[in-house]
Amino acid sequence: MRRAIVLVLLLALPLVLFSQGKDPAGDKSAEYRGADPTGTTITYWYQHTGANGDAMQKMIADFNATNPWKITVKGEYAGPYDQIYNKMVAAIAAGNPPELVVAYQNQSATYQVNNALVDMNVYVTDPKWGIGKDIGDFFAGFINQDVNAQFGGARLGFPPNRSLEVMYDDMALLKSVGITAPPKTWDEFAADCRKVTNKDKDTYGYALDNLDASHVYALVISRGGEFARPDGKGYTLNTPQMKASMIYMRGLLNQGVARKIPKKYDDQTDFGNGKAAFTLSSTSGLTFYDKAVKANKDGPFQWGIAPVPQLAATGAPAIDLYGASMSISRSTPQKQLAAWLFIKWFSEPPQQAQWAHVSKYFPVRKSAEKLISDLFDADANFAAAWKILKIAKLKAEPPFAGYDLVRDAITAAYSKVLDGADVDATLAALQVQADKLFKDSAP
Amino acid sequence: MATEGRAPRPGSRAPHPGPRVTGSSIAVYFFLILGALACLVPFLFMLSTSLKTIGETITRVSPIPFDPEFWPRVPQWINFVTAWSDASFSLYFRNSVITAALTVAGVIASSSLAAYAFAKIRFVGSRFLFALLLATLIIPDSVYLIPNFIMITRLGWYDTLAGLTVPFMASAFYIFLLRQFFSQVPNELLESARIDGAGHTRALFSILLPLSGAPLFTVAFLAFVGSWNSLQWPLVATRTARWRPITVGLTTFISEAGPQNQLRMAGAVLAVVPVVLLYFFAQKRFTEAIARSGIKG
Repeated sequence: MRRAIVLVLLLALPLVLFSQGKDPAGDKSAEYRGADPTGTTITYWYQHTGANGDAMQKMIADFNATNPWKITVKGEYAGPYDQIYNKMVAAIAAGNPPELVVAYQNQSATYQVNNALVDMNVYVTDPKWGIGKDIGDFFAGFINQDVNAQFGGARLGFPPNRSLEVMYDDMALLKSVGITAPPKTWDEFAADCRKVTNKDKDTYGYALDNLDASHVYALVISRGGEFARPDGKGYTLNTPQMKASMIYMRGLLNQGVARKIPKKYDDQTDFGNGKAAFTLSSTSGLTFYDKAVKANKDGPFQWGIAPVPQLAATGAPAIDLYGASMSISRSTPQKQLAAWLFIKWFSEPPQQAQWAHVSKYFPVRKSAEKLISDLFDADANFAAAWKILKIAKLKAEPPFAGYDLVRDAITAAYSKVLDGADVDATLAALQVQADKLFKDSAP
Repeated sequence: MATEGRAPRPGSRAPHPGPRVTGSSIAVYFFLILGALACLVPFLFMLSTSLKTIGETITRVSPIPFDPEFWPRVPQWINFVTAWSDASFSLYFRNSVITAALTVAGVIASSSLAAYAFAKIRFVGSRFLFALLLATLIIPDSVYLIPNFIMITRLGWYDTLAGLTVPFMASAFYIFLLRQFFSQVPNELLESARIDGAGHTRALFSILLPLSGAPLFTVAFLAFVGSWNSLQWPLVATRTARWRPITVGLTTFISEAGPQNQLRMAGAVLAVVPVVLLYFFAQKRFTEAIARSGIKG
């Protein structure tokens, strides 16, 4: 159903815009020069709820009260990511998108197929309004994630925060079989899974989530592979690294040392109940894992996080980056600049630290570290995650338009292979399907 | 009792022997009970999860109600209070009621008028138009999203009650359902009314609609549930909480890192109560209408 909706929206948007006679080329040079953002009001659609939503509203109020241009940002909860995407596509078609919107990289690419966003490079590098020498203070992997090769290197978003894919490990279970440290390589991982698997105690190694393509990406990059060509001209899914990753996981399943989870978040369930020694998940789930472990019927146990295992123990681990960015819609030069100034303000270290304290997301600025030292003291796993961030080779999934559909195809192929399908034929078919989707969704 | 031992009076019916218990009836009841339990389990799951701590929603999970893990160790009634207050449920609840009521009123008005025309008025192209109307049933709802949004935006209905209700006040399915029922009413009845001077409006309101309690209720019920459960359109068509319904409130318990299932389920329990009550009091009419319209599930 979701697939049908995405496809319909993807196909419908260019038709609607075409029928409205919009100029797809746009005028990039006039976007900001000479603009005066004073007194401008802009709308920001975001996905934050609960404490994060409250904190976002407070920060927006702080910005509104303190910015020298008297810019007013109206922050609006617009639903979860997928609903924001649907809403945004409809709003672009109707010609009234918000000036600022949260978007994953592939979502912003879909919007940009219709020339709906601003290339933020003009703001980032501007001598008056830009980042200047502070650019070196940003984690390079974070801000490079929004530079989209499919659109000639246009910067379609700017990161407000990030999280990482890590391995969660049940240290109590590992120690009970004589393992003192989390595995660093896939060979060690398999050996540890075998050691902890005990049918009588109903314990096993890895709670395998085959429902999320991001986990497949984490496996592939750990073996030196990628999902996309570096020039942004297509997918690379039928690769030796993809094949090795899938065969490896099928092997663990067949040995009975890994188990597929029936539904999303069931890996947390088995982990919290002390059944599964390992899961792969985002650092944004730290709070949930903590609650799961604390709810264990025999009391909390020792657990931790570590980098996702790699092919070799040496060198920086390749780690999957998570997180949506803020994108600026095409509107007036004044509003576009106002949106950028809010983003720039949000990315400053004090605001980054304030946001990290509530959301537990990583700040995008290195200098924010000293402002969140209390978080490291309070939560050893958050501190461990930060250490991983600093040593890791950060990688990101393809920012292509239509990647949502390719993600679905990847998880379907992964499930097929895990269930025994021929890996060569499955990956060949996956590549054909991805190529077609790439072509159909291309700008 | 005073009647004990008394012989049946002449002409009175013999006492009902009661249902005969046969092998096939036992099998039928067995499967019906099984089906009823299968339908009940999701409701029980919703209820039990709404009473757990967030930790228990992650670790204390079982699909079987007989398993102690299915239930919380200590019921967390506070979840209902938290869900109600954290997600502005009182506002969302009011909005849902108003939106659903208006949608139902609009659906009943438009569907009964159109159904009457298709069932009882002969005009050129009526069959073709009816076939065209039925053909729209095969178009997925998602296709309407962008055109509907453009329409309400240009009418100035974005983030208004009109934007939430008007696009859903007409439905091919409801027209079809009512038309099927209206067609079964003998034309002679309407003709005799016409002889007495009644026009189409009088015939519809004084004869057909009073006879159509059950199908009208069915349409009202389905339209109510559809409006009550809708999520995508209210999110697209609104920008503030002013008219957002209860389903939007439920999404606020899902974060990027994971769901707060205990609050989400507490909210779902609160949201489902009106629908369950409605069905509880009117299920007889509902099933009667479905049976009489000739529609099978």
